Amino acid sequence: MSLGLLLLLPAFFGIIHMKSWNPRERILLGFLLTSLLSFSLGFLWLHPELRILKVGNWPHFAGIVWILDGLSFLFCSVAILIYLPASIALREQNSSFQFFFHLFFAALLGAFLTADIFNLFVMFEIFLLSSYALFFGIKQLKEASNFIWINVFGSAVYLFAISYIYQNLSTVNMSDIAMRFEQLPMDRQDIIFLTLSFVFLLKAGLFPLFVWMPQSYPALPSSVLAFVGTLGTKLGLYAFIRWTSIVGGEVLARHADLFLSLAVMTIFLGALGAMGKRSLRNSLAYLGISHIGLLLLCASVGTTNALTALLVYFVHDVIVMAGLFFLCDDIESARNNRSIFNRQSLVSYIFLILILASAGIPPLSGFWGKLQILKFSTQLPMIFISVLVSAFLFVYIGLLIWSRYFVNIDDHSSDKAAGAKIGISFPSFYCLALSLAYAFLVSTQPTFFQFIAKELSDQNLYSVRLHEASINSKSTSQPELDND
Amino acid sequence: MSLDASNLQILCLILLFIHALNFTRLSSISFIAASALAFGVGIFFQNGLAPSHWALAEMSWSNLRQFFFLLVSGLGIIIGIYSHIYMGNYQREERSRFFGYLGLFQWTCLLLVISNHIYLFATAWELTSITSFLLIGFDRQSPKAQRGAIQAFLVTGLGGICLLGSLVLLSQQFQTYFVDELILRIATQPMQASVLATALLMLAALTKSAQFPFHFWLPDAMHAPTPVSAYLHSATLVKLGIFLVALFWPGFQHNILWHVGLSGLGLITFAWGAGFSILQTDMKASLAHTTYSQLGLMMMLFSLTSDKARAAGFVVLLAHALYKSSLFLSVGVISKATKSLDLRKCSGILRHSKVFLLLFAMAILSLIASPGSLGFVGKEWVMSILSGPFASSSAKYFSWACFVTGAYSTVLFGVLFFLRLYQKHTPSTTNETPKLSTSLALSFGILPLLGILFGCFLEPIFQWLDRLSPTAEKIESPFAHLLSGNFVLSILILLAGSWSAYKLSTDKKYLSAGWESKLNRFSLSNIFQNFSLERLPTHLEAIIYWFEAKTSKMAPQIVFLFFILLMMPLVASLQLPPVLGLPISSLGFVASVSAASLLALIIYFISHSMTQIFLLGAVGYLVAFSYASFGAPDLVLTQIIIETASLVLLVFAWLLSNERKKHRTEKLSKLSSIYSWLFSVGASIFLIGFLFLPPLEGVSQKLSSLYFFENSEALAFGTNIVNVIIVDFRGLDTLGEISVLALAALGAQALFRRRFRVHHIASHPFSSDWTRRLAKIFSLALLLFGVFYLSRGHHAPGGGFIGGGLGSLTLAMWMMSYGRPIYGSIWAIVGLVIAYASALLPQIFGLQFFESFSSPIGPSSLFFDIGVFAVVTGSVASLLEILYAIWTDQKGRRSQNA
Amino acid sequence: MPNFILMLALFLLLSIGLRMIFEPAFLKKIIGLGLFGHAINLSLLLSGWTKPQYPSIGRAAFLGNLSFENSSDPLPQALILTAIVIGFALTGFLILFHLMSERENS
Repeated sequence: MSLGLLLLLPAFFGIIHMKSWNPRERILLGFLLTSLLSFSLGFLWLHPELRILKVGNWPHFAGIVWILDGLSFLFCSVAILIYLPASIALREQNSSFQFFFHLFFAALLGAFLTADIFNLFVMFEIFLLSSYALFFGIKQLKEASNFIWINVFGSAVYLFAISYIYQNLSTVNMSDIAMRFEQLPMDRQDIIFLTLSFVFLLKAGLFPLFVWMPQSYPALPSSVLAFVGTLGTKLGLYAFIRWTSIVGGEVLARHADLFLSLAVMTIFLGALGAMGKRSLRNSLAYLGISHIGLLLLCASVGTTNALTALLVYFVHDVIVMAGLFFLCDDIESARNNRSIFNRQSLVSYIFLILILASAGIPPLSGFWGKLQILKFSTQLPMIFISVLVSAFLFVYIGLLIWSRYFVNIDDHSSDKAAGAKIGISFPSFYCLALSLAYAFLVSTQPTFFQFIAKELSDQNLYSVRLHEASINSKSTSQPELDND
Repeated sequence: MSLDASNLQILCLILLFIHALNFTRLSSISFIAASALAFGVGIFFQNGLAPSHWALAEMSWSNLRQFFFLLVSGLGIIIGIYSHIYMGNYQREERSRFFGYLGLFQWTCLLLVISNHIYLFATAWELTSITSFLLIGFDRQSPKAQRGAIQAFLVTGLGGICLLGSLVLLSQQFQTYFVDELILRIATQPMQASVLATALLMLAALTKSAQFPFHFWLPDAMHAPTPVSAYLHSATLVKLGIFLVALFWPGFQHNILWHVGLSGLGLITFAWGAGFSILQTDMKASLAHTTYSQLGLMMMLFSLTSDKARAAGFVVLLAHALYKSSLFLSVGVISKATKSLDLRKCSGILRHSKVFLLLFAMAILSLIASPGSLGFVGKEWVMSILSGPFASSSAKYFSWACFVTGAYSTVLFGVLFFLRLYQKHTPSTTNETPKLSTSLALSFGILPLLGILFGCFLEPIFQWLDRLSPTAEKIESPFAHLLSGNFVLSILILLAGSWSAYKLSTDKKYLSAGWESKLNRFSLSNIFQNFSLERLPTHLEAIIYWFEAKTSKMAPQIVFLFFILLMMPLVASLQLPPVLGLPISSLGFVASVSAASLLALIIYFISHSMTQIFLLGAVGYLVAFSYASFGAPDLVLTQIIIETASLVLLVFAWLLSNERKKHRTEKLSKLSSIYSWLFSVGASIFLIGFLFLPPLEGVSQKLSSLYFFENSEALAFGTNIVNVIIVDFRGLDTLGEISVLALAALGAQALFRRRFRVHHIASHPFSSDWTRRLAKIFSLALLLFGVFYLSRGHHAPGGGFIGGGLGSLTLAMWMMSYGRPIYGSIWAIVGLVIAYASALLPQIFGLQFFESFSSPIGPSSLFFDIGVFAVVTGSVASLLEILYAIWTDQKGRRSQNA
Repeated sequence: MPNFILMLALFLLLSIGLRMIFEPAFLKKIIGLGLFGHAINLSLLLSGWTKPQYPSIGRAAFLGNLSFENSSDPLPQALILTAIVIGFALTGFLILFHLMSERENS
């Protein structure tokens, strides 16, 4: 049992999926993979000695290290949680699709676990190529263009950043970077920090770097978007959080103003887009951008409280947005006959609860995250007011969607009685249940997130553990343990 | 189990359970039962705190809370009975849904009233808004109701967010999460409460209680079923803002903003609402206007410093609850009989039932605050407060002006309302008399009765007020000063109002006018609805489309521009002349790199694509040469092979692409060209410039490379260190990299299979015999070559990639010579499986993940390298396969067309 | 001086490569991708900070006096290898994607 299993299991399952199974069997395979992964993750988390994996048993500066700390654990578990409904929703897709999807998932888990900057780059590339393969049917060259070339530029800058890192710090291992970074002069720190942050924020979607996103969600089944769209940006978010925790608070504080203002702009532009766009899927896409803005706001502040808020809100965001996307296609197809609420209460209630959760209405899951964000931003009045305004805008967006799809607010149009029936599928129900369970859990036990945030802020933890682990790894001569 | 506050949580749970039964057949019965239970228990509960293990569930009980608790539950009983009869003709599911929502509302309202933790408080506040939203939108078929519901939720939701913000701020400032404690602390240090928190709290109260300028949602909320209007929007939900103000009064009673804001807006609302109510022809809408106007009066009273005002506020509140709900319920009775809510169609209806007439008259008496009703008591006290000391005379004039206007209009409205319903103005169109349901009337009969009783017998009121809101000075009965100025004034207002009402009731023009349609265009609620639900989204849609249109074309430019702007401040770090550690003295390296860049320059200026492609190949080979002069033989080999493969792909891409058919390829406009140059040059300056910075002293040692040199032979069993790094030390990177390659190939295959038939590949093998034989020999040689490189990779330049590149060429040759498909994707998958397995394999032998060991066959990395070999072979071969298929497809089509 | 030439050369490679990506014609973009890929690889090579020297390879060399001081840094070379292969995968995929979508749309 090792961390490497978390990467290889999805990859193996992807290969297994290349045989053409029927949808029922694919559901079984999905459950199987989810259970295997959850078991492994839990087992690894509970055994602290297994949480650091030095791949190949080489000392950490010579090989690649994977670490399962609190942040990775949280992101991995969320990814696994969302994998289950996604695999069920996507069971009709062909084998090649399944392979790409599973490799996408494997890349995601790998990226969350790796503690090596170049390994992270490789994971990013797997993630990118699998998303190209997933996204592009043959017809969509135009929309593909932006998506592809901007990401190519991003990868290029990433490689340059790696060369700067290796040049100045002589290592590509994250914990060594953490230890050596403070000794650099300020301008070098800025160069390295900004270059790599640019890449991660490009992936996450900070203003104005999200311009390639909404148009590149082409006519795909929305269940794909539920997984790929929601978790893709979170990869960039994770990388940014990890990176800022490695380089330390001072360098972030120097640039925090810039990131904060960009994040606020992201929130409002995203809300604007969600209000303006008529189709549900585009609306939700922009809502997602707005949420990322909120998360990046917390990440830019970087204090322990901010990170706690970020984590609480992050889990809610993924679950609820995935749930909304799962419902999205069905709702849009039933839209020809308006006012779904008239005909189908259950689906409407599910959607209502989910959209209210995303708006931050208590006692649903979004509220607790919002609350944490408000708590830490009381010291920053402009941020506090922006968060309140954005909270109101989210409620407004939710009600707009409700008015467009679920109820008939137009006096003059008649409400046709017959219409497509929306089946209540497992994925959306699952996400709803998860969201409610999360709301309950987080209202009683927010301490787990605080623990993770503290762990992150205390960056020496990353390196101290590694150095303890180094002592046992193999070499013919003892490497020097003290680098500075 | 004693009935003190510590059992509040249990009570809540029991109530929730009973209310859950509302959704079943028992609907109205369980609702009434729950209300009765709450009311009964509430009378006997003792004051105190109800702490809990789960801090969020902490509740508290005080006199104020008790009052509201009893109000909500007591009215609930009556509404329950009323609705049971009223909703009798609805279907069972509808009735269950109705009582379910209503029960949920009652439960959340009660929860709010007793909650002590601020998050629970905020939660319950929002939940009441949500349940109100569901109830207003109960009639799913009515667009007006849906719009009203959305509007109500928007406004009260805004209030909820303000409340949350305010509570968070206050809890941070005063370091407590409990409402009672918070209020105590604010009371001891009122100056510390920030202006923002105060303003937000006020906003919350104003929106919930429909005060100016947030009053407009209440009339449109009248599209809810009548019992809902009676319960929520006259007596309970809208009073929650007042509850908030009353609750926080100890903390904010000396706060200027609080005073001025709340009382000023309250008075304006009072006058405004009363005035507008006269202009309505819809019964419920007019009642709604008077509702928020009376709420304005209460708001003013509860925001003042004097405890006399507070006592007066409670009286007004109680009176209002009693008469307003009975008025609404009466309207319900009327509308059930006449099937209409329009005043003009219901004239004379009151004549048909004596009981009903009596009850209605009692309620109206209390509305207009005539002597003998509870409303009169309240009004007298208000006037005595207004006669008291004021901060400034303009404030006094303003308050009196608003008060008189409002009181006068209220009287006018009340009497007019009564007269319009009593007098017969329009001849009855049918002969049948509308039947006013007596049972319905009796169900709420106690309410107006209480209003009159309390007005006449004041002793219970005084005792109650003493407990609830003790005042410093003794309150006097309003009848004590029969000839005082205030009393005379109120009598004057009564008379004036009644006389005007009588006049208007005979004015035909007024009676038949439909004011609503004229007012609609200017009504705030219509404007708001129109704006928020139609206009604003449309405008925003235009904006966002514009934004998307502009940025989709310019997306790469925007990204580049952002990058350059981000790097701008760092320009100072760039160094000229550039330094790079130790001086690069190798002539070969510098020469080849410069030659490559010169070729790049030529590439730019040549426009013919084929030439550009070959020049790109030349650049690649020059770069390979530069690797050679740098001392990186593995890189040289890999670069050559990859460059060749790319060249093949590019050449065929050009040959097969449609762009070749166009005689002019698209070019960028002059302006775009300049911009593109700016961006590229800008980005490059930074990217390359940061590379050539002076070395730092003593920062870091290259532990990794030192380790590699010392240990690669002993522990990784290889002497080609680069290859050892790739397959042993950093094998996971390679694993990822071959996955990327496999993904590219399989992705292309997946796209391919959707469109093309596979047999195209096989249809055009080499035609001539000799070519085929040569190809077979050549491919065999290539394969041997590849395997040779694979096997020697660990100790000499070579390895999986190079071998694989050669192997792929082998497969390509085979494909072309035998004319059979080569299934490159299967090779790739097999290779992946081998590679993944070799990562897990060491664990079977008790070693770590991906650990290197030595076996009799060879080092473990050989196994992994074989996997890499297979993947590279398969992937590149399948890419070539697809290319070949497209080419033969095109050739085939050309020969068909010819 | 050699550093200056080197910097200029890399700068030319990178900027021309980036410039060509802005061209509307797809093939030119791929050519640009190739060019700046080379620039990236060379930059990675230079990040090793050592001058060009003996390759870090070979049993014979080991028996000789190959050591850390007098041979080139192998780690960046491994990274470049990975980058080359990934770049090639991307190029191959993009070219085929482009070809097939052209066919689909015509």
